[in-house]
Parts: sequence; C-alpha cells; structure tokens
Amino acid sequence: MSDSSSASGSRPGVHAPRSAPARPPNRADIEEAARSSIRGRIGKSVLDGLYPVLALAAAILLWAAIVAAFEPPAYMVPTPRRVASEFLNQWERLLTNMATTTRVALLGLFVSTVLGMTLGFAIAWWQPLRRVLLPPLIVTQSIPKIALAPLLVVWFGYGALPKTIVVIMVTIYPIVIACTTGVTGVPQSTMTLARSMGLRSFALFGKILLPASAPHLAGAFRIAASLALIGALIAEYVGSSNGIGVVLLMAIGTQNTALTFAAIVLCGLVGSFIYLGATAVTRLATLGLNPSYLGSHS
Amino acid sequence: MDQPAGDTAASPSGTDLRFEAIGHDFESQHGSVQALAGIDFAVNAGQFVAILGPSGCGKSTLLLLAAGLLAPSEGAVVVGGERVTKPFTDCGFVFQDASLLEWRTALRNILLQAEARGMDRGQAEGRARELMELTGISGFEDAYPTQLSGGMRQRVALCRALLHDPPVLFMDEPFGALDALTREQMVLDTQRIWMEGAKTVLFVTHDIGEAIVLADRVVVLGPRPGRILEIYDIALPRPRDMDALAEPRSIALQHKIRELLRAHGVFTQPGQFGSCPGNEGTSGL
Repeated sequence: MSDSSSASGSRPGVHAPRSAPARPPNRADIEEAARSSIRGRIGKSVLDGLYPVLALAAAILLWAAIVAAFEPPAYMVPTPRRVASEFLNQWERLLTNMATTTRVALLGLFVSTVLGMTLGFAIAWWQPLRRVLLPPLIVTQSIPKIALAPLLVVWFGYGALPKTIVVIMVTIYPIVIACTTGVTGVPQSTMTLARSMGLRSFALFGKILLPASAPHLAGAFRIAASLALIGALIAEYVGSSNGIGVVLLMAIGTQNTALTFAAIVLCGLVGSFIYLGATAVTRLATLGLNPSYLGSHS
Repeated sequence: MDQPAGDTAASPSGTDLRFEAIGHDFESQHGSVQALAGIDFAVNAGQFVAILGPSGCGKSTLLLLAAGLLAPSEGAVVVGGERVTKPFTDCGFVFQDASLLEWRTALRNILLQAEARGMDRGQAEGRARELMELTGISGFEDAYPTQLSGGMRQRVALCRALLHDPPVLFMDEPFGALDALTREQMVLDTQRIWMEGAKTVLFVTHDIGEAIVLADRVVVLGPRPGRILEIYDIALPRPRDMDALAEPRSIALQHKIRELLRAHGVFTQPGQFGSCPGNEGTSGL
C-alpha cells in the first residue's frame, strides 16, 4: 500500500488525515461543500416531499373505497367528501379555533424555550440549585399533565393562561435536560483550559457552554415543538371556552363525526407546520453557534 | 535531593516555580484519599522538567496545583517568587486530548486564547499564523478539528498554549494519545520550540524515553500517595533525538528508573504479587 500522504507533507511527520484532500481545505472549499450539499438537499427534498403527498392521496382513496364497500353508518366513519364539505361549511369556526390553539401552543413553546434554557443552564452550572430544583422537576414530569390541568382551570379560569401553562409543562423538560446534558458533556480538560485562560461567566457561557449544548438543544427543541400542540389540546379537553379541542369535544358530543375528522386533519397539518418551522429555526440557530454541526447531522 | 534555590533573576521568557512540601488529599465516598505527599522540588526559570510516574500517582494533580486551579491541602506553590493563591493564568496548557472546540476552525481555536485575554485581534492573528508556521500546520487555518489528524490537533493545542507567550507551559501527557512515530516527531518539535523560546516547561508523562530526551531534569513519582522517588538531572547534549536513548549513560539511567519503579511495585511479572491495585483480577488466570 503506497502512502498517499507523503506527497502532501511540507515537513516530515506532518501527515494529512487519510480522508483529507492532498491540498489542505480552505474556506472556499468548505463553503462550496456546504453549498453543494444544501443544493443537493433541496433537490432531494422536492422529491422527498412528493412521497408523503402520494401516500396521503392513496390513504384518502383507500378510505373512500372502504366507506363505499362496507357502508358504515355516517356517525362512525364519514366519507372523505362529507368531511371536505363539513370543512367548507364550518371553515371559519374551525380556523378561528385552530388559530387560538396554535397561538397557545406557540406562546407556550416560546416561554418554555426561554424558561427551560435559563433553568437548564442555571441548574447545570450551580450544583446547589440542581439539588433543589431537579428532583421536583422530575416528579412533576412524571405526573400526567392531564391530571394537573383541571386544577389549573380552577385557579386560572377558561382563558389562555392555564392552557399556556400546560403547554409549558409538557415541553419544558427536554429543553432543561438538553442544557444540563450539554454543559456536563464539556470535557474536564476543556473546563480546566478555560479556567487557565481566565474565561469566566458570560464569556465561558457564550464561547464554550452554549455552542457545546447547541446540538442537544436542537434535538430537544424539535421534540418540544411536536409536543406543544398536544399540550394545548389536553388543556382544552379539560376546560376551555374556545380552541380546536373544544370544537372536537362538541363535534363528538353531537355525533358530528365529519366535523371531528375535519378538526383532526387540521390539527395534523398545523402540527406538521409547527414542527417544520421549529426544524428550520433550529438549523439556523445551530449553524450560527456550531458550524461543525453542518453535514454531520441532518 | 537538595535543590538549588530557584533562580529568581528569571530569564526574560521563563519564570521559576517551587513546590514547597505539598500534600494533597481528595475527598471520596470512602473518606479522604491522599493523592500527593511531601512533594518538594524547584524548577528553575527556563528549565524543562518532566514529571514521570505511573497512572494514578497524582501527576496531573500536580499541574493543577501549579496553575492554582486547585488549592493544596498542605504546603504551597511559589511561582516567580509569589505564592499561588488563585488561578495563575499566565501559563499555557496542553492536554492529552487536545481539547479543541469542534465548532471552531484551527485558527479560531488558537485565537480563543486571545479572546479570553482581550488581546488585540489583529496582532494575535498574526502571531497565531506564525506559530502555525513554526509547528508545521500552516495551510490548515480553516480546517475544523474533525478534519485534522491527532498530531495536527495536538499542534493546534500547542499553538493555542503559546499564543500569549506565557512564561510557563504545562503539558499533561500531551503525546499520550498519538501513534509512536507521530509522538517521536512531536518530541523533536517540542524540543526545538522550547530551545527557541526557553520557557519553563512542566511536562507530565508516563514514558521514560520521552522524559529523558526532552527534560533537563526528571522527577520520578511513585504511586499512592504520589511522592517523589528520585530526581535525575539529564546532562545529555542538545538537540537530542530518540537515538540519545541508545547512549550508554542514558541506557543506564533508563534501567535505574525502571528499577526504581519496580521497587515500588509498578512493574510486576505474572506470579509476583505486586502492590499495584488492579493485579488482583489477574491472579485467577
């Protein structure tokens, strides 16, 4: 086996990694690689985007075929056509209520991110706080939120506040844990190095702890985003004056299965958009903090 | 083991360092564990001192004490005539794992030192590029750590440690994770850079040959608790290379150091029950 690195070494002993090009990569190379990978990704994602659309169309066709073949009563399974017409009849009611729920989910997610990161980094940094706060956090995480929601309604009424609190409770845990994982994952030698340089508090946080936590936070934020809508619906089921959860309860109560289906489909769509938006925000934020993230994760 | 008093008239780029009757205990679940005992020696300004010993003998702890990142249970560390009571930041650190920030390019990893100290950005960058040239990694300024080999990562760490021209360099088994040939090259480069800059270097290693080739003085530590077994002055002419290990007097010295460590239970043959913990598990074989 010939040693390919012998040509590249400007001095003996300095051997390039086997996978590296003979010429050391410069900024232009890295940027070009990033651009082409993004271009490739966009081309691929258009194609990838087609598959779920096709799958959805197939599912709707199958659904229509089953209803046509077995003719179940309409209060059990409506036809796709009836769901669509119900949606068109009640679109204003559906959309305004969905908007209410979405607002609560997004507000809760935002507060949860800010609060969760503050709490998480504080806990990770300050041992006493960790001992005081982490056990109650784990205990409350173990309590089903649906068991707490009625209490919140008693305390705060049927408005947005108790619903937002439920969303925060559902979404905050992964974010807190991502921060503690990120900070405790920084190697001891890196911390010693930082101290020997005199890096402290905010500089230490900004230059080392936050970027080191970024990949963990990216994952946690996406999990939190997918839970936010669920949290909001739980709260609305328990007690609320408006929101898509309320529409769902009423539709079930009046055996309007078509409206139920319409609301469920709408929830699915909005949930997907929240998740996609969260993913995009996460990518931007993570790349800014931790460019090595590019390419190594998708 | 009498020590000459530290030469307080330090050379411009080095400072002297004294360990005065250092003892250090760690708190563990099973109570207090003595890590170091009766450590007493001096490092003259500009001297290259290797601390040699088996793993777990408190070598790395000694560096943390010297840098003021850990307060000794007993005794004192004196650097440049002043007792160390708080983190002593006028130093450079190199660790076994290079400790590069993976989200920063090689150049920006080196410049972390400048950012932490509020150095002038332009000047620091110029110096960083010079150091990369000196250590043979110019051209890799914009490469990320994952794109670099182990030896190159370690060179980046060395540049970072030298950026602010510190009077003391602490090196904690810096070549321990490298392959044998790269390690040999790193030994030669480290010697060359030290001969040009004449900084005080405290170099922790568990490699007898590495210690002899690099150091003016080798401090041999014994295990549990870490204590000084012997201090050897190495008078071989510089620059040295690994062939210096084949010279009769250095062969004799290597033999002496091995004997010394063996006498303290560091090397045991099968069937011999040494005092080295961890051997118990092999007795059933």
